[in-house]
Amino acid sequence: MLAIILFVLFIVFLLGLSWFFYKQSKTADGYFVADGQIHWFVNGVALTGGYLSAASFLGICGMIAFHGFDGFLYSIGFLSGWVVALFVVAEPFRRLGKYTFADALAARFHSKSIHFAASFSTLMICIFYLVPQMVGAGVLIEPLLGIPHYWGVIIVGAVVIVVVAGAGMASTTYVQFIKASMMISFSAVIVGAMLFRGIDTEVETRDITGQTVSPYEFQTIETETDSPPFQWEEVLAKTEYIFKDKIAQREQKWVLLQKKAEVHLHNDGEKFSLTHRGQDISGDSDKLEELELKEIEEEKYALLPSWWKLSQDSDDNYQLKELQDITIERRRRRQVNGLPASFDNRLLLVGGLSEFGPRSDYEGNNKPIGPLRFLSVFSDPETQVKLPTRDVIDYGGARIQLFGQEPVQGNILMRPGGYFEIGNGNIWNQLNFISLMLALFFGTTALPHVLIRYYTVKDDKSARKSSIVAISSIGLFYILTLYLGLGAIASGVLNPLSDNMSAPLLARAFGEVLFAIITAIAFATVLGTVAGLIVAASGAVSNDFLDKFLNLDMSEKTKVLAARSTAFTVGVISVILGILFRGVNVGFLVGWAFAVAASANLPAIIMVVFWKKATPAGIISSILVGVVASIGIILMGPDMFEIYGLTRADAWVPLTQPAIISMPLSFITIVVVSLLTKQGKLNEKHKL
Amino acid sequence: MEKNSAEETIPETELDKDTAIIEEADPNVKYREKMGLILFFIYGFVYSVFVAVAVFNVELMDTVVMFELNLSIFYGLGLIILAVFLAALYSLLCNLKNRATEKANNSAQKSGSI
Repeated sequence: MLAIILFVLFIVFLLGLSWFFYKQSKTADGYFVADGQIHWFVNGVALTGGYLSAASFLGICGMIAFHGFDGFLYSIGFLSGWVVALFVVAEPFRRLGKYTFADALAARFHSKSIHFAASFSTLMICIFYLVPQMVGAGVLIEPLLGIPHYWGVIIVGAVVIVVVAGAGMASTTYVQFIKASMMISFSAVIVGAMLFRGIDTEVETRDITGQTVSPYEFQTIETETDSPPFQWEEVLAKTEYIFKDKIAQREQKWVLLQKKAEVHLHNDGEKFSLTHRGQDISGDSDKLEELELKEIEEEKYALLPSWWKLSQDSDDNYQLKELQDITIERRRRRQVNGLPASFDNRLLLVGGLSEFGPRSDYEGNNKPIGPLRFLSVFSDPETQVKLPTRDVIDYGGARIQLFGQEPVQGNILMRPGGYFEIGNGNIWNQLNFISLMLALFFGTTALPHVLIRYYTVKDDKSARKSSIVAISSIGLFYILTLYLGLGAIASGVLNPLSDNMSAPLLARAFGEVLFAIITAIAFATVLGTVAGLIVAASGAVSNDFLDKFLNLDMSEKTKVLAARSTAFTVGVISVILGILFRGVNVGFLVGWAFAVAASANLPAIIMVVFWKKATPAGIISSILVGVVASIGIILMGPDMFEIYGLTRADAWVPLTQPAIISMPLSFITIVVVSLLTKQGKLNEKHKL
Repeated sequence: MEKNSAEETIPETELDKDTAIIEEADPNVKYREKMGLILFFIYGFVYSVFVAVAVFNVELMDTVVMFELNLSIFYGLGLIILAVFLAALYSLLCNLKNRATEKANNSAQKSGSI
C-alpha cells in the first residue's frame, strides 16, 4: 500500500512540476533546450538522471547479482563512454550544434539529406533505447504494485507523454535532476545499511507479504553411486518423495519426483490451504481440480510434482538437486512448483553465500563489514556463492522452465567472463566481449538524448562543468551498483525469473519503507530516461525531418506542435513495443542501442569534426550503413534466433554484438564514399 | 536558434570564416581540443589494456594487488576513478589556460594604452 501511495504522489508531483514549467516551453528554444538557461550543476545532475536508465538501476544490479563482474563491465563501459563525450566531442559539437546531432553535422555541409539520415538514425536509436525502458517499467510495476505487465508500460507511457508533450525539456530537466539525486542518495542508504548489517551464510529475508522469513533450504539427495541405473526406491527411501520419471534434454539429466502435501479445506470447502516449500498457499477450492489428489485415512493430499537435476559431485557420485519450476501446459494453465500460480505461490527467492574464504578474516555472523573488505570476501577463491540457473525443457506437452542454484567460486564470480564466457577460448565469445566494450565506450557519445543536453547550458565552460558533475555522480552510482548487486546475492533475494528485480528486492530486505521509496525512484528512473529520449526523438522528427529535410516553412508554434505530436506518437509506439517485448532482458536491449549508436552516429560525428575531406554523401552513407549493418547483425544473430524460437546454432551470423563489424564498416564507408564523391562535393559547392 | 532559411545557399568558404571568427573570439579552442584528445588517448589506452587482459589472460584478473582486492575489481574501480580524475584535470587545464590568456590580453591592453 505504501508503495502505491508513494507511486501516486510521485506522479502527481511530476505532473505539477510539468505544469509549473509549462510557461518555459512556448518557444522552440524553451521546448528543446530550456532557453539554454539551465544551471550547469542542475544540468550535470540532470545528465546523470537522463543517463542512468532502467538498464543501470535495474539491469546492471541484476546482471551483477546473477553473473558477477560481467555486470560491472556495463558500469565501466557506460561511464567510460563519457570520456569520449567530454574529451573528443563536447567542445567541437557545442560550437557547431544547435538542437540535435543532425544540426551539428549540417552546420558544416548544409545538406538536406544529412538531416534525413540523422533523423532516421536518431529515431532508430531512440526506439531501441525506449523499448527496454518500457519493458523495465512493466517488469518493475508488475510485482511491486500487483498489476499486469502491460499496465505498468501504459502508465509509464501515459505519464511521459503528458510530461514531455506538455512541457518539453524544461520539465524533464528537473524531473531528471530530482530522480538522479534521489537514486544516488537512496542507493547509498541501502549499501550503507547492507554493510552495517553485515553478511552471513544464513540470512533472514522477507517474503512476498513482507514477513521476515529464513530462506528455503533447497535439498540435495545423494544416490551414493557413480553408475546408473539407480535403485530409485532405495535412493528415495529416507525422503518424502517417490520416483516418477527421468529424462535427458539440453545435455542434462532431469528427474521428476512426487511428494504429497496435506490439503486443508476451509469455509465449507470453498477455500483450501497447504504448506509447500515453506510457503503457506491458499486459494479457491476449484483450483484443486488442476491437481492430482489422493485421500488417505480421510485426509486429503495433493500429489505435487517436483523436478530435480541429476548431476555428478566432485567424487563422481550422482546426486539430485532440488529445482523450482514454472510449467505452462497446453491449455495455457500456469503452475509454479506444482501448484497453480497465484499471488502467494511464486518462485522462492534464491542466492546467498555458502562459504567465506579466509583472505579477509571475516567470519560472517552479520557483523558490520567495510566496503573494501566486502569486495575482498566476494573475490576470495575459497568463498562460495550460490547463483541462480535456468533451463527450459519440454515434457508431456508442457514447456517447463527449471530454476536451480549452482555454487560459484568467489574469484570466478569477480573476474570478467561469467556471462560472456570469454575464458573458454571461444573466439566468438571473445569477439562479442570486445564488440560490447567497443559499443559501450563509443556509444555514449552518439546517443541522441545525451548530446542534446550539451545545449541546455549557456556556454562551453558550463557544458564542461556539467559533464564533470555528470561523470562524478554517474561514477559514484556505478560503484554503488557493484555493492547493490553483490548485496542482493549476500541477502538471498534473487528472483530466479527476473534479474531486473535484484536492487528493489535488496531494498525490501531492509523494510517496506525503503522498498516503497526505491519503487518510486525506479519508476522515476524509467520516466526520466523515457522523457529525455522522447524529447530527442521529437526533435529529430520535427526539427530535422519536417523542418530541415522536407523544408516545411513552420512557425515557432507549429514546430512545437509538431514536436508534441511526435512525442505522443513515439510514446504510443514505444508503449506497444514495450508490451510486445515483455520478457526480453533489459540490459541486452540497451547494449544494442549503444551498438547502433556507435555504428550509425559516431563515425559521422568523428569524421565531421576531424576529417576535412568528408563529404555529405560520405556522411549519409556511413549513417545508413551503420544503422543497417548493426541492426542486420543483431537480427541475424544467435540472441534473436533464440527469441524467434529457433536454436542459437541456426543463427546466420555467429555474433551477438555487432559493433566490432558495423562500426569499422561505417568508418570505411565514410572514407571510401567521401573520396569517391570529391567531385560531387565540388558540384555541390557549385550548386550552392 | 533561428532557422537558417538560406542554408542551402551558403558557400563553404563562409563557414570557414564563421569557424575562424569563433576561434578568434576564443583563442583557446585549439588548446582544449588538443588536451581533450591527449587525455582521451591516455584513457583509451588504459581501457584497452583492461579489455585485452580480460580477453587474453583472464586468470591474471585473480591476482591480488592491493587492499586484498583482485586485479579485476581494482582495475574496474580504477577505470571509474580515472575517468573522474581526468575530467577534473581537463577542466582545470582549460581554466588555467583561460586565465593565462585573459592575463596576457589584459597586459597587452595595458601596454597598448601606455
